[in-house]
Amino acid sequence: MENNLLENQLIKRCRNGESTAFTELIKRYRKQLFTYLWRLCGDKLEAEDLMQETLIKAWKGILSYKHESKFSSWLFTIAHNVAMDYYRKSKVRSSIFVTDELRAADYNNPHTELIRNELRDILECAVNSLPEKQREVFLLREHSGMTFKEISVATKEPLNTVLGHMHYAMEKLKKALRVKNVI
Amino acid sequence: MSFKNTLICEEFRSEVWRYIDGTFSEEERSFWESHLSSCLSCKMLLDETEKGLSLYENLELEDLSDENFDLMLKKATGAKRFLQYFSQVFNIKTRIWKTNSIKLNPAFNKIALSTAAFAIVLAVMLIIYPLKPKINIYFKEETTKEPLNTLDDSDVSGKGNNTPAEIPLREENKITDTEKAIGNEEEYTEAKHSTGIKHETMDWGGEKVKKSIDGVSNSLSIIDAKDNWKDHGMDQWAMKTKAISVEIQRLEKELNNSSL
Repeated sequence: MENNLLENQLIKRCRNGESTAFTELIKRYRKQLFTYLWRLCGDKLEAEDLMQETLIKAWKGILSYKHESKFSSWLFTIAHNVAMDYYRKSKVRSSIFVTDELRAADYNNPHTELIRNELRDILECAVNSLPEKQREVFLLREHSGMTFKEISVATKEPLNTVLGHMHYAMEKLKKALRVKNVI
Repeated sequence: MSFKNTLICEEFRSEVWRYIDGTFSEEERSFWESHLSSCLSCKMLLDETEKGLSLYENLELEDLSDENFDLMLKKATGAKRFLQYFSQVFNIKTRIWKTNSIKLNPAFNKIALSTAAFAIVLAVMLIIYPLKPKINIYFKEETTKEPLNTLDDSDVSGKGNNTPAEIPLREENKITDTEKAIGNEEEYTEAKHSTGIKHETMDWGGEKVKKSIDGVSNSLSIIDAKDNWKDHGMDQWAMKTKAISVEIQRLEKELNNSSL
């Protein structure tokens, strides 16, 4: 409750053009947002670009934020749209959502990341190998804290379709974990 | 507790997320809890799903460097927000379509008023500028207009329906063929004015030439009808007649040229 009040105050200050308030507000979701974008596109540099674009749009658009949804949902919806726009634009060249093999290779590359434990690798590879829509829904659900109804609005898909994506995503994740006897 | 694969179990597979999210009503929750207590497959499904999620949720989140993050924020907040600027100037609430009120913020009154004044002046200038040629024609027409002594325009042209905007301007200080034929511009001008023939009519060409000829002929017949012209000064009437005759010739010539 107190957290929400503080967030509302920060939003109000952002509307008045206080960049420090915006910094404080974004810091709360910095990691979730960046992780979401990184795991969605599978590339750190691309994720940074998308993060930058998301922040610009959030700063410009905060005046139109209507408090009808949680701020985190609003912010992640922007991030999702930015990623989808970027994906559509770059589709002609090549998908930013690289193939599973490439993505797996990237995650197994010792130069791209620090040492990962086995479980982390399993989960990340499993998530990255998910089909696009399933990954979108799964990541939104896990990182934004949005309800399925909100995800349905953000992805412009029916609620049942969103639930279906989540179901299949989770099945694949569990399958990967079962193979390694984690669950 | 036993393994089942009933229709209820099938339904639970599609409802498991609502169960995890806790978006069930109390009645629904109690129903599913009682089912889970007796169905091992559904219980396993729920446990696996929750465990998988918790494993994923426990993964360390990715992060970007503080330096990059600060640069991003700086760039983002440096972006101009036009909507914000205008909302500050006019204190328009963001959801203006719902509030129905626009209040002027005293702090921005001066900026608002000066912006509005500038916009109005600009708008007026933009409206007036395209009309400038027409206005010029109108004013020139007004300044070159001379009082008519004997005959008005309708008498000369026959109908007198020429508007100032429709009449092309005669070039200033240019002596026409008619004037050369007479040889005396002052006399010619005087004659024109005294007969009521406006120079626009005399210099008129194109489709209305015939109308002008008719008008001038009409004037001539009126003059001819005046038996007592000699009593009022022969030179004046002779000049008028001469001017009209020359003008008729010129106009006929123009008519012929235009018909060719």
